[in-house]
Amino acid sequence: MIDEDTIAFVVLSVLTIGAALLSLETRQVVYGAIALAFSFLGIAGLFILLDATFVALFQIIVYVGAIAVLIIFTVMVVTKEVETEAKREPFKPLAIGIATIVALAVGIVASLSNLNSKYPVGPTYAAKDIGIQLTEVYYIPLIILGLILGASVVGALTLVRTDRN
Amino acid sequence: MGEITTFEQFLVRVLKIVFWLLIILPMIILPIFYLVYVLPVEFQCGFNLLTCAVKPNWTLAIDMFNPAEMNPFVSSSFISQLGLGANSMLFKSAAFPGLTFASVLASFVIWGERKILAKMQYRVGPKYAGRLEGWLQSFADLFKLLFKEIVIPAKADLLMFIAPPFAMMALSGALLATIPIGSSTYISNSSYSLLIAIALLSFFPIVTLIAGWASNNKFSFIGAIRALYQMISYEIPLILSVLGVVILTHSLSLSVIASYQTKIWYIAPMFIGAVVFFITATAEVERIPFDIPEADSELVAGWLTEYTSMLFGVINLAVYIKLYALSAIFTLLFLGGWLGPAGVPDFVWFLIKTIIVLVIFIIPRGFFPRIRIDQLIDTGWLWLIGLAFVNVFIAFILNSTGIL
Repeated sequence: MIDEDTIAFVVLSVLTIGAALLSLETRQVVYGAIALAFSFLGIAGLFILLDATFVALFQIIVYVGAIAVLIIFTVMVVTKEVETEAKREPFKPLAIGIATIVALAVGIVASLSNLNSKYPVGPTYAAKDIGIQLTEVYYIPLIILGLILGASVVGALTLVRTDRN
Repeated sequence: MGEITTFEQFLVRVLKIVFWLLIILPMIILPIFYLVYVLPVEFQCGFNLLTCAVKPNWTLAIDMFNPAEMNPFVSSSFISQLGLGANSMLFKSAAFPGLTFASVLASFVIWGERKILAKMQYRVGPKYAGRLEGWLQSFADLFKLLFKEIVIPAKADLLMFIAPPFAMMALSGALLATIPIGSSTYISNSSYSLLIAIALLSFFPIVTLIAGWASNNKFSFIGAIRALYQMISYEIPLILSVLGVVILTHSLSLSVIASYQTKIWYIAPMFIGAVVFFITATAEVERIPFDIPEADSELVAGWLTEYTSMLFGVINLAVYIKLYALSAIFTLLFLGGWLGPAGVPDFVWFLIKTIIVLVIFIIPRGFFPRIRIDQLIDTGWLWLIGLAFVNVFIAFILNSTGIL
């Protein structure tokens, strides 16, 4: 039952959820932003476990490479010395306990019951298959996406032109 | 050290000697062990190294050579169990196409850079370390850096200050794993290796930013912000310039892309893409004329200002390994990779081409001034993205008309 995939899944889940919790709970805002990047990274690892390497790599490129950088940058510029004060949260242990119990109960029920996906384990799609699907089946969304991207590129070029003059 | 008067001093002296022996002995004994015991047994297996070394297969190993001739202490199964064979993953990632090879190459690139720039500017350059034109200069620098003190600023964020050098080294080392240097000499042969390389490159801005912030120094932070601007705005043309080659080969694997170029190197049809890739790669490794983040005449050393000793050395090494990786990717994408006349091992052709690309990366440092940050952003967003789109259209036309 416990094979490599399960171990990897548990490790990645702990990394993802732990980093997400840390990013909410830490007093140092910059550490929180960096923990958010680690959370994104854990999600990319989960995608790799699901045999969606293409999605995982774009998760890294877009979320870690762009969005996490923007968040960290903003946090660093805005707050250097500000450390949020510890608030009094009397019901926090109770809330954590209830949440843990509910999560455990849901997990136990889900693992004990014979819940299966509606579809059996499907084939894994390589990047080439995704491309073929995009260009032959889903070409209208692709064209719309292309137009949006083209518009944003033209907008960026226009901004640069106006800045120059 | 003074005279030994007390027993404590004697003990300290002995412990220090033992400590240095423990550090130095592996550096001498392990290579000798490898040369004397491991390699001969490897070569006894014939050319079927893969089955012999990676997958310990008793019947195969016994069939191949006589166990009586073998060294009694080291049998081939012992070596393969240790994972030390010349085709094992450890050897590949740590030694030959991997980190050690790239580090030694990087140190010679540093020496070559100083020498070439000196010749361009009518200077002598490194001269005294090593008989031949000071070829040991980077190793001398390495030992100098090793024995220097690591100074950590009092108000620096300790964890975030120590982590970036090692993160950069790990990222550069991981970048090496995506690069096949021969048709059968590679660390990993993923079908997504180009995407993996781009994903790893997108980690560098975050590390740079953290390093500059944690130093708690205005120069560092300004340098880090400049590096961020530069890397973020040059990542887009980098990805777009690669797109043309991907359209032509229908593949994201660097080895497949390289092996498709038997008819023509892609630098001919994709010349614009090659130029854009070259410029953006120069900006990614912060070399002159794009050394705005380091700008030594304005910002001391940019985001590296507070780093001393081996922390600085590790960052420098990581940057040069990244430079090697980028020029290797340029070779694979546009110059046919390891393809060349038969007769010598294919990775020799790859290395010759890569070193030529490295020299072309180095030379602009001799005659270009530094450009301003607004010129940099304009160039990136206006000209390079536009040219990259032109390149994509050329690739699309070539592909859809069936010319290539």
